[in-house]
Amino acid sequence: MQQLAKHPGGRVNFTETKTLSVLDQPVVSSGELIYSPPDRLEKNTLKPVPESLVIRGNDLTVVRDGVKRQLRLPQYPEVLAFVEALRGTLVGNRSLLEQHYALALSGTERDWRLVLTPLDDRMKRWVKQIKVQGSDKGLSTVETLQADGDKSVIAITPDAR
Amino acid sequence: MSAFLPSNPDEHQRLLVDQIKDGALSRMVLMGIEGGDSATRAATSERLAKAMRADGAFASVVNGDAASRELDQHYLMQSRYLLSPRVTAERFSAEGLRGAIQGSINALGGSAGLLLKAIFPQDPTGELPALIERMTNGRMPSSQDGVWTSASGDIALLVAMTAAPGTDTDAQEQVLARIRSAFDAAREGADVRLLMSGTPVFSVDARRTIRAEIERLSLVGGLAILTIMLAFYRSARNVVIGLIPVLTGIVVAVVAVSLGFGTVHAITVGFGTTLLGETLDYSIYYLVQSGNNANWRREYWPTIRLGVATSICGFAALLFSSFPGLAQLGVYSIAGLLTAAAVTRFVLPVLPARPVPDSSIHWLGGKMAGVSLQVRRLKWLAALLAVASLAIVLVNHDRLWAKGLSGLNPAPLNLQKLDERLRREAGAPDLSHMLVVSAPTADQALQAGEQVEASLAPLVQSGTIARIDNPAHFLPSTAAQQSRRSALPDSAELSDRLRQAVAALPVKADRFQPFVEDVQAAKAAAPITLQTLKGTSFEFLLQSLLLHRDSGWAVLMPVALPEGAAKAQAARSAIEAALGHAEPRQQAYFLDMDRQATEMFGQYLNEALVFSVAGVVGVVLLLALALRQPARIARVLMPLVGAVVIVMAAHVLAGTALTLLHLVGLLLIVAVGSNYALFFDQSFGPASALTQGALQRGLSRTQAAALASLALANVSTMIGFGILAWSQVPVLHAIGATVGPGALLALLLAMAWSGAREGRTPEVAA
Repeated sequence: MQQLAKHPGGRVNFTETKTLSVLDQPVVSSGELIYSPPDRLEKNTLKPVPESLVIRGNDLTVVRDGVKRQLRLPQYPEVLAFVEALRGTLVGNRSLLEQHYALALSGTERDWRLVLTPLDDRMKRWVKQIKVQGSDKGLSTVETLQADGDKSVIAITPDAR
Repeated sequence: MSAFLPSNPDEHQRLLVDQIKDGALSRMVLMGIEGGDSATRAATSERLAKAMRADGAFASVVNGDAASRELDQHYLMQSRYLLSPRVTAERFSAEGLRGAIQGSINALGGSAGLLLKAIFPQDPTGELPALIERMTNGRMPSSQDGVWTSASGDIALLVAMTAAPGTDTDAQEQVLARIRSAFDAAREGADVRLLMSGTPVFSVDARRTIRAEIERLSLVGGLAILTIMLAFYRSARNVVIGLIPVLTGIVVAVVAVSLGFGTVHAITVGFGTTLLGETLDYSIYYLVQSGNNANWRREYWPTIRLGVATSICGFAALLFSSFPGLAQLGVYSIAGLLTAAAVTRFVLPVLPARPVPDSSIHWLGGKMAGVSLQVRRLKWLAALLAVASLAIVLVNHDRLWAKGLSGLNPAPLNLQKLDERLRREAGAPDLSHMLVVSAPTADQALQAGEQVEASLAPLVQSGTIARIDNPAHFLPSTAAQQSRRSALPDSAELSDRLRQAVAALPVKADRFQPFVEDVQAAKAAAPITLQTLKGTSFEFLLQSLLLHRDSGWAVLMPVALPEGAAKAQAARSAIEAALGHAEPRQQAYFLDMDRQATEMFGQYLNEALVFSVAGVVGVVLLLALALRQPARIARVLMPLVGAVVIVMAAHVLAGTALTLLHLVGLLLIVAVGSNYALFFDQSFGPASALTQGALQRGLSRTQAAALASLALANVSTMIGFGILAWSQVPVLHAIGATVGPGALLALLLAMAWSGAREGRTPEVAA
């Protein structure tokens, strides 16, 4: 965790694979994640449909199909919990994560694994567990197991640029 | 403020007037609950909404609670295929379905996927999210702990529509009291406060404040005046006799207005009674001047009679106003003045008044003569002041008068600000720009609205217009519903097309059985009516946007113009141009409420100004007939003109734009001031100028009485009106701030410019 806390902001590429029971094949999307400490997180999906999701403090903005939607995170606790899972892991803020999840950290500094189990009932209706894997270089995957058995895996690779 | 709305508007104005008087907005109460914590506010909001929903006084109450949210979602989900403009035969062809389902699969991969996947089998074409998007469009209030809140989350919001019409202020007052008591029960002792705004709150508040202020200020003013009268007359009997013309004037005025108009606006009685304060002057003149009755009738009565006639000329300007409130004030004032004058002339002389003590008259008369001589030394300064004021007024003539309604809005500024905030936070429609479509029936109006929206759709697409709202989004016309229904294929056909559609997609057609069932249900469903919307939060939007009027129905379609003046202007022109090409049978036009209100009030202000000028011309003619000598006419007119322009210039310098009520005040200055000027002309004209020598030799009783009566009349007017200047109610303040100083100025100028020596008339020089 301490090591993560030292991790500065930056840009990485991601590929998200969603496995949904309603679909026969997973849906795959990719783009870039930009993190600017302390609280700005940007997820720019480039393929297959461009979408920009910007979280800044307590504001979340999504732009898709040219339509902008905004919401205040404190009004949507389950979304907030999601966001904090990412932000908390990125900065290695243990107390922030513990507000929303039970934590289980295992592995070594070079190959660690953090399992987040939601505490809040509203969150539990959506998410069973979030598994984060990483190395001394930072995060490598974020796997979200949804309550209904669906899952999403975000694989992170360093920015080639 | 309906008293100040025009009675014979044109068609566009009529809609504006209807909106202000009877529209849904006039029945909408916006409520906020502040203080305490979020959970307490939410619980209070729920209990308050529950109590109000059980009360017949409210047509609808929405607070975004689970119950109304569920109704909203249920309604949208149930009716999505009749509501969605995307339901066409093409979209439900195999190819159309493929595109739509592919779009939904893409959306599942996006950030909202978690929410969308649950309804995907039932709604693979994504009609529900599209509908929610279109209906709410980022305008729905935020929500916290299950109820609507302000964006910052510190105020829980509710919106209610009263059953009683907006014009029924008595009913609205009761409704507001019910809300307050329901809130007191709902908060269960918690430390939360209720904020209320909306037109009902404004009108009830305005009426109560105006009444209370008039009562309070009239009481203070009246007591002060009576005390001075008592001190001067040294006779309670005289004070009572002095009130007789005023009181009979008020009674006759009320009767005259109710005979002429059927109803008497509360505001007419309030203001009118203040205006009739002028009639107190008549009894003052009589009581102070009538050392012996015969003399008074011969020497003074003709002057008073002329004063009454000029006052009536001034007030007659109001009679022709298109504002019922002003016309009523005109009738009220004229009837009151005539009655009071007649009572003074014919009744007071037969009453056993005690002679006013000579000592009082000589003391006050002497003081006034002293003041008068002092003031006359300043005649050139006064002339300079008047000329400078005239210059200021002429230079600023185009920004003298307030534009639009704002000057007449009786609501205090903090209430106006609260209203603006609650309205924005609650997502109430912004009606400052809208398209208006009229038709004989509601359904025809909705259909015409849909056509107009379709003809303007390119402007929305190109971003020329930011957004168009339309009640047909919630309640489509029968024709639109029918066309969507017939675009839906039957079960077998749909299943077949689905199989073709998903051939190349990562999903099996069998998954969409719930979709096939829903489409079948929609094909067989009863049409959507007003009844279907009952209890949803769309109902109150519909009530604001679909209006039943005398001439039929009107659909209001609020248009959001892009930001920036240039872009907004471009949007206006584009809308007007597009409407010009629309089907000619449609009764559609674009209404810019601010511009319309400004134009309408500008027009009626102009009308009032024209009548006032006519009134002034009448006064001049009257004086010309009575006085016959140009110098004397000038001597009487100059102080009036001077007082009016100085008061106007002072308002310009203070940055206060003048309103219709200021105009009434200016007319009053002419009415009251003409008496002063006439008396000065009569008693101290060129033939009997007031000089230092004359003062040392001692004033005649006649002159002393004239001066004393003017002083008393002036003091009573200044107290009676001037005290209104301290009122927080803008309309009362307007009257007070003009008449109070104006009356004093008229007297001082009449003194300053009274003829000192034969052959010198400084007025003409000025």
